[in-house]
Amino acid sequence: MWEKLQTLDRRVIYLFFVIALMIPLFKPMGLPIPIGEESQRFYDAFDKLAPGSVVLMSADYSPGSSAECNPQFEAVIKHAFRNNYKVMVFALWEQGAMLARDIAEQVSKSMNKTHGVDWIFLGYRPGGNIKIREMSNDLWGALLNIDGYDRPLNESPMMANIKKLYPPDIDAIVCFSSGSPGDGDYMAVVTDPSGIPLFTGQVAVQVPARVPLIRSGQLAGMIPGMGGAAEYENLTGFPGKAAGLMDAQSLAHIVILGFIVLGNIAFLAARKT
Amino acid sequence: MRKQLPLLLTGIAALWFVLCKYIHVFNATGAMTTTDKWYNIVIATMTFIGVVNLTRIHTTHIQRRRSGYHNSIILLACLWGFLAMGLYYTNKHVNYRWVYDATVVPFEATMFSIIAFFIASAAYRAFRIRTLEAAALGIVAALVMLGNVPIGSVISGWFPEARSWLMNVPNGAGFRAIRIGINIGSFAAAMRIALGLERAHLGSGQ
Repeated sequence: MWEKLQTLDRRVIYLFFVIALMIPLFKPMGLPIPIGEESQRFYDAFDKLAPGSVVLMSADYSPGSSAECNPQFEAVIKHAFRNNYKVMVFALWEQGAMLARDIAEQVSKSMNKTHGVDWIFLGYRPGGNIKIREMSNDLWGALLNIDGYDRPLNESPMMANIKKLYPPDIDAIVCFSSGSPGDGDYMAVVTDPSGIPLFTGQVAVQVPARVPLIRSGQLAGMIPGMGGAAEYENLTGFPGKAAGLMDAQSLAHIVILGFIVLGNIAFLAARKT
Repeated sequence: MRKQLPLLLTGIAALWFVLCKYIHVFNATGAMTTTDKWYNIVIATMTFIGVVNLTRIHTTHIQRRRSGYHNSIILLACLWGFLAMGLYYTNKHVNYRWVYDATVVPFEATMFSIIAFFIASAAYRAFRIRTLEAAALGIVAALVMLGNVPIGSVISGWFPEARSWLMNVPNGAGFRAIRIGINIGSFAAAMRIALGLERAHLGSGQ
């Protein structure tokens, strides 16, 4: 029996996994979400920026990471609008631009923010860190003098004093990243040389690699995965999707751990017999 | 000449980038900005060459009716269909956005979601406590998994604290060392390519 348990059909595992993910859809558990130190650090540092600060929010992720990064992006842009920051929505990934644009349009409408005055969509530009360097020398030239909707930049009042992606024209960068190009490129080209804060929202698998950068001060704050997004929603007081999805993630983790324990019990019992 | 010319161009380009970055005169005259613009053009050209090459390979698959050639038909239809749609509508048009949101977004999200199921079954088979190191790996994985989700803090407030310590101390130390190694290795690889010592990308020359 123990040998059979060790080679359990993977479809049984999939079935339990699906059930665990579906239960919260029908019966939300409403688990309390404690605030982690990374999300708290991000919130405190981001909140300290002065009203009117120019913040670049870069959506460098694909639809595969949107389950984690979309709630992060939404929570942070709501925070930025609440504090009256000037937000530039940009992306080094083409899919990220489309995802971020939809969120920015929805949130700006609900919070009465005007495109061109309170926020601007700069769209996607290819080139990774080369494009960032171009933008840090000449933002308008790098964007070909048009925004993400193909409108001239000189029609947007908020862009009048923003000529470079470098201080004093910008005050902070928030990069939501699931790979490269991403926060590492902004760090190398803009934030490390200039000293302005770089914030990041990361997919969970990249969080361990970013921890040393927070310790060294190169990252001012990090939202770790969907859990971090749920914590940030709690901190800002703006309800979002992440908090509800954490119930499903909790049960999924319990299922995986349960099967790992079962597999090891079967392994040890088989060894004994 | 077939190998010497690419090596020479690589070396000149690498030297140019270094000069533009570190010598102020080059940066101040806008040479770097112009170079960056040329970089974008070259990348776009390379991407197009990739598209042409992909089309050539899959067209051969279809012509020779190789196994799975129907996948090649779908690939080419999607590739050139999206290209045509983007050129006709532009990627800001509502029709393009609709097709993109209805196909690419759910497909890509699904591909990543499938990975979660794969991880679950792989974890069941792989996490066996055969040695002391495997036991340490399993216990640490369990602590981090429980510390990352709300149910862990409901079970015990100790899980989030343990997860925080594990991420900040041993993980931080390990990844610091990994990053230094990666960056030194990347620098060495870049120097080898710039100096023409690395020639694998030039092919066998036959």
